[in-house]
Amino acid sequence: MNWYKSLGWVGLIALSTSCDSLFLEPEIPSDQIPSETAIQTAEDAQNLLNASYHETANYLGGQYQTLAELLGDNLRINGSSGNLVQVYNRASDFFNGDVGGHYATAYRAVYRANDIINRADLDVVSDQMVAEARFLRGLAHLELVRLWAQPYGYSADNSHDGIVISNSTDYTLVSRNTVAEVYAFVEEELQFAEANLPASNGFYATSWAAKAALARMYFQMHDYANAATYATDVIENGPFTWNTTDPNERYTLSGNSYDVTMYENVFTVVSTSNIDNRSGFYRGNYNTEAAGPPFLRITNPFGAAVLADANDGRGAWLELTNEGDPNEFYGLNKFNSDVQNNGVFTLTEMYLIAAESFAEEGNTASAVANLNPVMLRAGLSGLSTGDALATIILTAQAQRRIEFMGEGHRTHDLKRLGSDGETISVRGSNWDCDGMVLQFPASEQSDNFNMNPEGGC
Amino acid sequence: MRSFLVKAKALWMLVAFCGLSTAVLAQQTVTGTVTSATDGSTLPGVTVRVKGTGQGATTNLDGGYRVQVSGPEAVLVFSFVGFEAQEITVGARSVIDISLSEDVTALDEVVVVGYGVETKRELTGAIAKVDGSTITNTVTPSFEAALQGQAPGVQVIQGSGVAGSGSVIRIRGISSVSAGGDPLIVVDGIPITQDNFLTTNWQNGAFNNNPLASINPNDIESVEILKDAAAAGIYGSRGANGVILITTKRGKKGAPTFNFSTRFGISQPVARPEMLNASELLQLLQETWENDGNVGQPDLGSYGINVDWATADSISNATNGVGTDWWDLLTHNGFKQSYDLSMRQGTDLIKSYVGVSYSENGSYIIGNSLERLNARANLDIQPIQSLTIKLSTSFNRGVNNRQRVSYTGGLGDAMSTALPIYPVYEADGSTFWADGANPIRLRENFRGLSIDTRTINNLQVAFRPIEGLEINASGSYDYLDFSNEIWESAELLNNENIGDGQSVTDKRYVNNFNGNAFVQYTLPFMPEGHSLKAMVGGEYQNSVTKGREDLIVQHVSATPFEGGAVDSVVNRYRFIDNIVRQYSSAFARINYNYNQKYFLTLIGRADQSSNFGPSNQTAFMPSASAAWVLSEEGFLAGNPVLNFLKLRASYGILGNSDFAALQWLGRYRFADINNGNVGYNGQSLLEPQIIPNEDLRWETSANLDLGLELGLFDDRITAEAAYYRRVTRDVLMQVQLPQYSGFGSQFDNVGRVLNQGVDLTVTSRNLVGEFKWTTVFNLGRNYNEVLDIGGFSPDAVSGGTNDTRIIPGFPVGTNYLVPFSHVDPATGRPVYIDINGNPTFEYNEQRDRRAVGKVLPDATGGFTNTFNYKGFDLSALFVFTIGGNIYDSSLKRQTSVVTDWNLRRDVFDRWREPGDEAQYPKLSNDFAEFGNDKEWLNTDQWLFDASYVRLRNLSVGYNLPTSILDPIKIKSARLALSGTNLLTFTRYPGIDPEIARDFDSPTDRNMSQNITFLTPPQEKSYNVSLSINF
Repeated sequence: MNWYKSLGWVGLIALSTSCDSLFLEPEIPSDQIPSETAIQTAEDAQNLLNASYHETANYLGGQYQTLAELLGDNLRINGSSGNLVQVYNRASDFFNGDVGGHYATAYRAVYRANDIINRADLDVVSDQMVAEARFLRGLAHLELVRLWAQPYGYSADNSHDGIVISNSTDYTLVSRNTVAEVYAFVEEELQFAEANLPASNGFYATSWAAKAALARMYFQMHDYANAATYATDVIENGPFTWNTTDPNERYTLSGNSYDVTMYENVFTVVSTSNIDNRSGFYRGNYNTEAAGPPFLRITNPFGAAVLADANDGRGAWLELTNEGDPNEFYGLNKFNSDVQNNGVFTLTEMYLIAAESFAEEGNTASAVANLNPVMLRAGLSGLSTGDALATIILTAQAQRRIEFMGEGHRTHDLKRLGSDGETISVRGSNWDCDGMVLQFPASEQSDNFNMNPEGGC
Repeated sequence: MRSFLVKAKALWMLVAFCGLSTAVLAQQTVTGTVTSATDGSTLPGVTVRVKGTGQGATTNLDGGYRVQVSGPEAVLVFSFVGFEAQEITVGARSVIDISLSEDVTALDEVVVVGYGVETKRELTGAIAKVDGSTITNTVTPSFEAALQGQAPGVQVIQGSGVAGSGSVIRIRGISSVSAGGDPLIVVDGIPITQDNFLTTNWQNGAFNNNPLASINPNDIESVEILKDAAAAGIYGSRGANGVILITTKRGKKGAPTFNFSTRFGISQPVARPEMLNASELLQLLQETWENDGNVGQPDLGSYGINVDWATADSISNATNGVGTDWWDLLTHNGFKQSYDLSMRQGTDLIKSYVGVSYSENGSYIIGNSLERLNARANLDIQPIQSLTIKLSTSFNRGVNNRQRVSYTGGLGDAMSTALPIYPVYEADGSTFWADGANPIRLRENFRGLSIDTRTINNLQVAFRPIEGLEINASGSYDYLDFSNEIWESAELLNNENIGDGQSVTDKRYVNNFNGNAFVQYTLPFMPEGHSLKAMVGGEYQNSVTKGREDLIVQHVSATPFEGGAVDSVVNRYRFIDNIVRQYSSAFARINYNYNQKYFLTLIGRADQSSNFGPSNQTAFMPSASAAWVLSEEGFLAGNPVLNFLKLRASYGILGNSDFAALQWLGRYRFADINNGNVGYNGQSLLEPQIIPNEDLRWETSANLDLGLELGLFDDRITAEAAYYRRVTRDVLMQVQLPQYSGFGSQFDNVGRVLNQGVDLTVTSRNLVGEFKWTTVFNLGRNYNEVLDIGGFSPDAVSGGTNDTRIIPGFPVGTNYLVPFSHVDPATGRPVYIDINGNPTFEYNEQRDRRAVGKVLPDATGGFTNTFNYKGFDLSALFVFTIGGNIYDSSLKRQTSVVTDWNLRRDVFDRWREPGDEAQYPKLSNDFAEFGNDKEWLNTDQWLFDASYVRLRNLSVGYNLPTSILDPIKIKSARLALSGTNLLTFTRYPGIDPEIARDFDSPTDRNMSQNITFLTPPQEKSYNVSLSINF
């Protein structure tokens, strides 16, 4: 015993303080649990998994969709400064709180998933929990790499910088993985999820959700064969219901009372009430019923083009305001509901992936068969198998643009086509100019980590 | 007790009689009263000697004396331990009242050192002592602000002139980053609660609460500031940022004496901002409009300005172009008053000090004040010679009426969005205009109230069973109840359904227990000349902060705060996590000296803190120090110039563990849906909160101090100089993690910080005798450098809403900004310097920021001149700061970037047409013209030299003569006029160079002094005070 400990005893005895040990026991706040004892029961593990879903909902509740959409050519913006203006101006910098904050949210979802996966050996952690965690981890990496790195195909071997792959709860200051590595990781995660997830799991991840995510991933990778296969699998074999007349289903449903299989949503971020609302970001930026004019609007040429076809039921999503004035604009009312669910993967997306992919593969019949349900539902007449492949592809792309206006698909499509060799210009700049990828937050800076190029475009 | 007094009086009369009887042959009788020049109290036991004779007397309990002298040529010599002796020629007088000045340089002066006292001669460490009277003589909102300029190396920045705002105190620089950098504050032996509870609470009006504001300055006997390892070592692991020991007044032996003090004063801002008036603003808006390529009248709406041009123009015209002077409407002459009554008495059995006090400190902001109510009783009971029981108890209540300031509105609006072209009322005069910022409407529809109730209690027992041995045990209890309420009207909340508005209440309760025991033994039978004293002890402290937040109540009727009818509780209290801080400590001190010439002190303290994990809970902090009184050596004895010379040196380790609790322990938060949490999809969550960091350990500082103390010409000039060097290792920082870690930040021991510098004090008694002039000069020079931050980027640690950084090679709190070069004469656009040194129109933070300034000063100090003549005294304290920068963070919106803000008159020096060489760019609402689509461009154009000199305190006092006072049974009375912050000399163009705005966190507090954002200026006050002893 050190001499000063002896002194301590003298002092403490003199004080008559009852102290069994010199070690001071920490007093932990009542709602907190030390890491060592945090996961004791299956319920604890489930709650940890819920926390990963919670963060997933916090970046897919319109946040990533909007960041992507701002980089594309669907929107115009009401304002001249602010975080989202920076993104729209393709000059997001490392202090952009929206960009950095939403980036962090996805990695928090990943950390929680990693935490479950690391504990796979525990009895209380079921195989299904691990599969769900790997789905969430794969999905987050896919969405991160699509926004913070140049797209798949930007370099021939995809050796360009991607994002940091996080598959552990420890961290060190590391470099970015290549895009090839990130996609390989996402593929592995989603395939594991596909093989190990149940077909039915309420609002949570299912094998169908994994297949849908794989379809989206392969589509982005120009792997149209696999994209078509997975999309078709979901359409044909999944339990989801296609509403042949109403295209609004996936935006308006809310609450956890509905039977997921009754609708077209394959994987949904769910809002249960005003205080558990995962669509506020959308509504905050687009709402056409708010006191002031909406911050984000559809560009005039695009809005006019949609409304030009009077048969297209989706024209009802647009509200032309101040018609004829210099400040005429098209508001988007898809996201006006106080509370709504967000369909992250939907049958609509699967049909349109399948249509374009089959066409790319030269399969006219399947392409048309997958494109027409979407067109017919919108009130348009479909294509026929007699149409040229090029027409089918362009029509599928146009349908994707209309169906998903406001949801970010357009930007990823522009990058997909650009990286596939097409000449793509976005609001006057190349699809792969510097500002078309978001900047990382300042916290990522280290000697190992290459930030994205500065200055935007 | 009364009989004791009678006996004591009888004894003194006997002594006086004896003195009388030995002088029966003298021809002239002189009587009088001897008082203390410090507080006017009478001095019993003063020796009154007739020079050149063996005759004399001693003053009685009431300070009275009577001597016989031979004639007018006789000289009386008054002497008393601790006071300067004084000689007076009798002349024709038969009554000679005299006041003795305390002998401040006396080597026998007692200094409180922590777990004991030492004489100044014995000290081997760097301790600055400030008397209670110095503190009460400077009118400040809270006692700690009065320490400014009083001790070298002690930087005090008063928050602002807002009543209730606190000060930032830094001792010998700053070595902590995310752990608290404030000195440990110990009142009568107990480290008291000193947390700033109000941090990010926007609605409280943008200033932190001051936990020290409720302490009564009149109760303070002395303040000792422990600066080096030798001094602070006894507080070991908690002393790294220095220690401030506050000792309260205690009873003195003698008949009861009473003091009544009262003060009245007014408060004004030291300066007012120079904002545009209505006609100037309209003119500049027109220019902006045209600069941006428009023609005709500006569309004010496009700037976010909510009146049309015609209305604005009519408001301007109706007031000769002045418009609404919001500053004028929001400020007034604040009224201050204070009343303090205390009693001191003492017998052999019981000595007591009892005091009550009330003060109201109204600031220059209408509706803002701090009321303080205090009561204190300190009893010393000595039932037997060997036993002393000291009981100290105080009750303090501070009521702070808050107003929103700075970025939360009020006076902040007057400097930003409350435009001179906005009206106060709607055209019909019946209701407030509410289409834009209207701080008058805000004031009438908002109330903020924070109430501090605290009691500090201490029971101390000292037992001296045998000669040389003293056993001490003490138990203390410091309770602080802090309540903060804000109320907003239905109108302000734009909610017609809530009648009389809505209030939100937060509460904190701190139970802070401290117990210590120590044994001190002076070894007997030491060889001739050697003296050895040992002290060993232990201490345990347990502080638990509980809290509740966000009680939201909507009122249907009755006045808020008065418990009126309540319509509905919108939100019940949310209980916040308890914050538990525990320390368990053992300490020892050995004092050795040889012939009062060579001194050696060894200190060791071991502490355990609950803030660290099992492997790092205990830290041992040793220090060693020595002093050599050279003037006692033969070769200097009797030197006509140098009468005292002491060298001292110390080295030791000090620690700091004052940071957010339990950061080492990895943990999860259970967001239970059955306990009010939302969860996801109706399910509970288990959310990772803190990454475990079992390596987290004490922040330690290695301190070297070399000092020299000097007395010249019989102490007419005394000086103290010290060099210090402190290297702090394992600095606790809350570092931003890369977000791919899945966490935002983490506390870790990162890096090293250096502070080194010189402290200097010179006291010169330029004139002594009847006309006295004393000059005290002190200066603390500090050099601060971050040596290492473990490879993190400059953005890994930042000061909250303020904008400073930690960068190796630069000081803590470095301004890291894009450099501004000049305004381009051709285009009027600002030109920046890019990272390669080339001029650019582009504002690029990511590429071009660099270290361009620092918030820490090079030196701070004070300069006091005191004059005494007969009953008059005059004292002037100048304080100064040399070096460092002020970042005027709001100026970027008050000059060329035209929005819905008013502009400062500085913008008159702006570019207007090609060829203009101007300080500010052209006016524009197009942010891209300034190089980026951001509105807030942080450049060194807003960075200024922070140096200033300020006449902090000027006071003139007059001690009324006893000839007036005697008939009305008053022993002494002093009437004084004083003013604070009367003059300021600075090159800073903003309102006030003394800035400590609100802080979000300890990190912010350490890094972000001198950052201003619409911060209200300090107050200037004029006061009259009266102090009566009877």
